[in-house]
Amino acid sequence: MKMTIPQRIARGLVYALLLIVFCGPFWGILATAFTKNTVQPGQLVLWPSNPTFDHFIYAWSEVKIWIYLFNSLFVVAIATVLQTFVSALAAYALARKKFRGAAIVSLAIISTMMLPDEVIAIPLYLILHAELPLLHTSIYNTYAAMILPVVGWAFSVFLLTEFMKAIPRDLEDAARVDGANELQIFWRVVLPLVRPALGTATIFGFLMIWDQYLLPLIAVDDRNLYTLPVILRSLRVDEVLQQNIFIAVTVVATVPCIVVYLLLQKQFNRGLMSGAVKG
Amino acid sequence: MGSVSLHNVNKSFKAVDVIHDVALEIEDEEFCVLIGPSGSGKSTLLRIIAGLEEVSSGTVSINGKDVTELAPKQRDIAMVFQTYALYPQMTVAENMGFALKLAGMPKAEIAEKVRQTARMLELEPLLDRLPKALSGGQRQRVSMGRAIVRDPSVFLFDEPLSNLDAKLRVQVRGEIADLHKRLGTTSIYVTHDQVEAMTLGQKIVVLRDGRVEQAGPPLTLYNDPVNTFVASFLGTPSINLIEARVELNGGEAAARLTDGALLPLGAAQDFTEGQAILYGIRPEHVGIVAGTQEGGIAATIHAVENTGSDMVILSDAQGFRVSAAFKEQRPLEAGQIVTLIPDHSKVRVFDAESGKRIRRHEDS
Repeated sequence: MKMTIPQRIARGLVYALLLIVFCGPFWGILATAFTKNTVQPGQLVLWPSNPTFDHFIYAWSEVKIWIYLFNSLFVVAIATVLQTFVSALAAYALARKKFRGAAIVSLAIISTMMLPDEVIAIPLYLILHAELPLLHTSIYNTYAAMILPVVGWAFSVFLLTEFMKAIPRDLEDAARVDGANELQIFWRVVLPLVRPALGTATIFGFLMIWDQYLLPLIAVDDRNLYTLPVILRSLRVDEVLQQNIFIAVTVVATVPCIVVYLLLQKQFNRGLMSGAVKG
Repeated sequence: MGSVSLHNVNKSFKAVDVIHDVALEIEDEEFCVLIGPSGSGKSTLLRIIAGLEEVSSGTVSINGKDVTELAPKQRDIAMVFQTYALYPQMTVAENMGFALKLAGMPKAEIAEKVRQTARMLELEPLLDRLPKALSGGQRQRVSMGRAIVRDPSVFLFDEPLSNLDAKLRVQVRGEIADLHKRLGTTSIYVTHDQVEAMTLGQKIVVLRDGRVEQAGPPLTLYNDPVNTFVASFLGTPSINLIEARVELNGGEAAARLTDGALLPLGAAQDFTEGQAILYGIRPEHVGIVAGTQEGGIAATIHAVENTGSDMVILSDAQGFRVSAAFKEQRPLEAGQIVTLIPDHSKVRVFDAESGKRIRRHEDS
């Protein structure tokens, strides 16, 4: 049905409103980061006056934002890959294998989603400080301390399990008759079929790890190992630092998320939609 | 070489026994069809032969070698599934070459073998397509190609035609028969369709509740069934099984039907007076004459089914229904009173209680 002119205008207005609601804040921090004039804490500008890269240059050279950017990228890259891989393996076992106590294992994994980070903070702190057998050292104050706790993530396991359940059993049998072993069935038959879900799990995992604040805070003490969310918090309370520079650091912290989303956008949307249809 | 032997194979899922003491010998190059209704255990038996299900007890041998404990890939078998089970992310060529790739065959050799098989099955133009771009018949041909390319000792078919429409089913059935003739590979084929079983099988194994009811060449099973189950499972329309009691008169026995008709059975020595039997006669062995006549079953035609090539008459006698089938067209119509005359030499008699065949001297 063709839309009338008033309908089109109404639609345009709704879109414009949505655009302002979702993009407005981001535009605000972008404009502020490029504004030469100093702004007060809590203040954003709508249009950059005297546009400049100075705040970014300062954040890069003086605040040494690149250290924290590297830390964040390093942790998120390793942890996302490990998390997706471990989740896929766990999901394969839960979706495709029959074993005693499978339902209990499934429930136990899902129940971890109900625990707020604050609840597990102290036990996690104790574990990270505990001396490891054989190595006689703890992983506290290392990258591993920020990576290992997020490798197992219930949401990702749950998402992939549901997708893997939908794969016909005949495919697995056919692969077995064709001579595939368990790992080959997983790698060559099952994984390629859940690619949309892998994309979704990766992007959600990336965001979850990128946004980690409490974990790096309790996992490391060395400022050189801080990730972006931790340093952002510490800059926020830094009374000497100019607000525009803090905003510039915020922009830098946001960019990787946008890049990853744009790269995986297709899989992300497909994964979300397939998930919705499958219930 | 591709003989298959099953010795006292049993299979239970938890407390439920699904296969009971099955013993089977399938010769090299034989086309064996496992047939039975849903839940008869035919697919489970095939999966046991494939190694996709473990036996609870008993042994499975292929080419004289005990493979009971071996994985599917070590059994030298290939399987065609009802759902085709093609890997959706792989092209036709990749699907067909997957097993060879896993076996570590060089790429050039795989490509050559895939091409040869594709040519045989007229799949060459489709080699670069994904399964989703194929029709049902093409998918099933690819599925067969995937089995053939491996050159196994035994082909296993699990209801491969069930997902195809009627016309395509006949076509692919013919292709399977041709392939077997050409390749001579031992084949075990599961179906619930008796037409497939009769047309493809050199040996048919009829299963019920996980037990072998009868095994043998198709016509032996059709003409010489061991019980009412086998008799009624094979043949369309189904065999007429009419309740009767034996009456002995001198050296001769006859069946007294519930409507009072008396039909000869043969020598009295095979029966006892008053014995409850089922008088079995296939529709094509029932003659029909208009009006009433001595020595037959008086009936009224209930319906006439004319398929053009065949004519099936469904008629109501007193207390039971009898069907008759003819190759020629006859001027018969519903409501007409007729006399049905069974061909006495073709009668198969069964014990009414156990359903087991009572062999007459005339049968041998």
